[in-house]
Amino acid sequence: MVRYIIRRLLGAIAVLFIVSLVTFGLFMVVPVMTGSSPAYLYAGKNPTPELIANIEHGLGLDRPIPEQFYIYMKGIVAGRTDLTDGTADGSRPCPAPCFGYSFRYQSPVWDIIKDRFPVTLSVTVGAAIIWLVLGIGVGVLSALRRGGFADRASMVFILLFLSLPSYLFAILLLYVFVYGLKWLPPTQYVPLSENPVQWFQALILAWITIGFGNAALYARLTRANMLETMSEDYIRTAVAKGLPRKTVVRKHAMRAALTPILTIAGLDIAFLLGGAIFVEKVFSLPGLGLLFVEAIGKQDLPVIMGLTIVSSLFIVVANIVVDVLYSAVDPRVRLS
Amino acid sequence: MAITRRATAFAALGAAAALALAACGGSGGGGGGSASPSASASASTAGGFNAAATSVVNASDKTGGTLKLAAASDCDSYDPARTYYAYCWDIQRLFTRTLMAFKSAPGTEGTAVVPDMATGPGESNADKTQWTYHLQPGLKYSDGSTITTKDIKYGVERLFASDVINGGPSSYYTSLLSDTYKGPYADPSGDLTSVTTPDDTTIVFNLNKPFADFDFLMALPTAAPVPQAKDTKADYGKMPVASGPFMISSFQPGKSTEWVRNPNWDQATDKVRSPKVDKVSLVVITDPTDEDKRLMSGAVDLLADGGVMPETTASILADPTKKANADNPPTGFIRYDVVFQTVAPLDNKACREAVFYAFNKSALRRINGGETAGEIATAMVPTLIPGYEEGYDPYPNGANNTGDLEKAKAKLAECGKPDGFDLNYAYRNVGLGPKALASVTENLGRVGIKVHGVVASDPASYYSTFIGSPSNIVKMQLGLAGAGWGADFPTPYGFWQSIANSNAILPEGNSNYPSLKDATVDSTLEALTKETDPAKVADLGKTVDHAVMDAAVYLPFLLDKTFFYRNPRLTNIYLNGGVGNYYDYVNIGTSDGM
Repeated sequence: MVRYIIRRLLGAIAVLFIVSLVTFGLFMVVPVMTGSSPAYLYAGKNPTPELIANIEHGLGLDRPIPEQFYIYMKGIVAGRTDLTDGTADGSRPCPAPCFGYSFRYQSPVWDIIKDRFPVTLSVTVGAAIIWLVLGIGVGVLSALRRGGFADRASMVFILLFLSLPSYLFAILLLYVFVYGLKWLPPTQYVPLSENPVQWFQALILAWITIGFGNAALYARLTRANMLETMSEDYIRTAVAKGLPRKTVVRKHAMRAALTPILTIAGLDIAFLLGGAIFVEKVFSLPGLGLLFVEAIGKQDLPVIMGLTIVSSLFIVVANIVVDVLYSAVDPRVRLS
Repeated sequence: MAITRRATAFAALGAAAALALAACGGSGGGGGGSASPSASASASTAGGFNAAATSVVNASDKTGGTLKLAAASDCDSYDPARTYYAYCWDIQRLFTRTLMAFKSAPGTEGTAVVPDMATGPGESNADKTQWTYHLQPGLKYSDGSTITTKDIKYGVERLFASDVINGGPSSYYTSLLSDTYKGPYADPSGDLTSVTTPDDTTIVFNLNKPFADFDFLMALPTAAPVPQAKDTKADYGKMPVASGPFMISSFQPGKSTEWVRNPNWDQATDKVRSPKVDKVSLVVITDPTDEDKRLMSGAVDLLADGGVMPETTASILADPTKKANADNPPTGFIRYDVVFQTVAPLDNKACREAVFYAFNKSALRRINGGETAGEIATAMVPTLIPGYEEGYDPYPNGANNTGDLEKAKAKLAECGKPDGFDLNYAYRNVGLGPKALASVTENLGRVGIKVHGVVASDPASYYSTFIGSPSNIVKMQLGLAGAGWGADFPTPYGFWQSIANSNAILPEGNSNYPSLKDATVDSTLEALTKETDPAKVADLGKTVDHAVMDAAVYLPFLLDKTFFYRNPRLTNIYLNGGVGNYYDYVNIGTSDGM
């Protein structure tokens, strides 16, 4: 197990290195190759060549590209002290993980990400609870009541939320509950620690939007897996041996049927942690997704690069966690 | 380079460039005292469509309450030296004072500059190379310390630290004051010798060339005082020291900002501002539909950074009650196509004129949003800039501005291309770019001009290195390109210098896209650097406009307008031409005191 985890971690580091390399190349090298300079993005109107040179120096763009990449990677791993911000010694400390400095937000990128992450985490956790509970619940119920009313009702639920575009659903929720019925105030995110009620009010529609959409997918998958598992010989054997139906379902069928769901859930959660772009934008939730949209709009390259790498990190870590958990849930899987 | 919030989403710097501090009227020298709008001679009305464009709506002395603003994106910076968004310059008036300021008055009246912290307009020498200002007594920062002219000098010195303090229009100041000074960070022992402070209330600027509009530069937040002891360099924008009637009480970047009253601000020293509310809040709402809904429901009072969406505009226009609380003013921003004279056959003026006559301006306005999006432009100078001439139309292009095809064909024959020619159109594959390409292709195709789209591979560098690079224009054989412009300060020089003067042509980041080198334009702009008489300034502005239009390198088609909605509870509300015809937030009150 330990050797497996170490091997996976080394692989993860390699993947992240490649992602960093590609990201750096895409945002820092390609503009140079096309004759542009990221410095123009910060310079305002009519920048003189001297101003561009000054900004390039401040960004470190006047150094050779391999050196720039080395400094960037070193910053992520060990931090940096060469970011110019006008402090007395001409530099500011940027402890690891340092993804550079955002001239748009006038702050180290990691500080911005740290500031925005709790919002995305709140969105993700709430939505994941909804989709896992609802999706697995409906799927199991539907499989166990195959052909019955519950099954048909769940099919309607699944079809409705799979076919309903999430952007439409989100706007619909906003119109009905905020501006129509006025059950909720206009969204204004407040940290959980500050005001739990306002935190809940700000997030509930986002949770429903993501939760119901994903729940439909998970219900469909769960139902299919459960139906397949319930037709396995060992289930028939268990029933034939006189085990109670509840035990058969919970201890034998669900355990096997839900194992693939675990894999998908891990990746979905990791993907969402990288930023629920659309939902955060519609509900004005200042999380990583919205930060990504803003950074693209403002052409804030350091933030875009930082977010890309952090999002990749979530996916890579989730992959490892899912694989490890998979073996715990299903002993048939051997890590080696 | 639009200033509406729809366009700013993908044009942050462009929008910054479109500051659209539209101008008219007032001289660079400003004049006498100003008055707060509630006490001024400005007409006061109870409301009505477009009422706030020309009058103070719901004048009232009632105090208290909170002005609730919303914006689709946060300010680029609260550091007065680093902000360049039009609405953020307006926001700066809440907490930042300058030597001069735009008058608190509706419409064109607001484009005049008047003394703010200074006792009077700048005193200049004959050739406009030396400007002296005196500070009023009793000026204090929010921390209680006294504002001195040394702080103003230090604020200007920071502009030279361009590796740290960038993003704002620093180059106006740095180019006039020193070629060698490196700023207070890189050169702490150095001194910007061209600016002297004989005492704490006097400051003298010695320019290296004449600049008659210097009072306007002193009215921009870029020239705000910064106390050296409180300068946190790159972090200064997180909590700038306030000199105005409000100060930041909380700031969450990308989320919200709140201002409360500055206890050390003294109304007796401020003839520009007459604040009524106790607090101002700005919340970032990223979804435009949600933003409009909140505005129309009264949850927010104003959209700080632009107008409402087209569907909201339609619903407001259909409801007389709502319409009475809406305004549709010009922004001072003009949209045009650049006709590149450096690429054949457009090096032949008659060929360029053929494009002018065949162009369908109505179609382009439709693409941009129809009548509420702007007025058809027939010349370059925007409505509020001195030099604007109503009815001046050197290239009349047919009924409803859809094109004069006969005239266009005649011009084609004159330039030796009776069957038309091929032309490359530069565009960005974002926003309205593809639609503009389709429209131009169709309407020029009517006279045989075959348009080929050339997309900028990197939309972000469209203005800086695609059409902003004269060599790239020739290399890519570009014939036409969509662009736009708004002046940083509302004077003819402020509007024209960057886009028409041959001395402003840069190898990259160039805004004189057609590389116009016209002796009349250059000499008139030179004359404008020494002229402060309003009538003469306006005449010189017209001269430049005529010369530029005669060169047929800029094809104007739309004078932008924005469609605003204001909460009926707001008092003392008007659109200030000096701040790009945004509402003058600092003087707004509430009728309910809430």
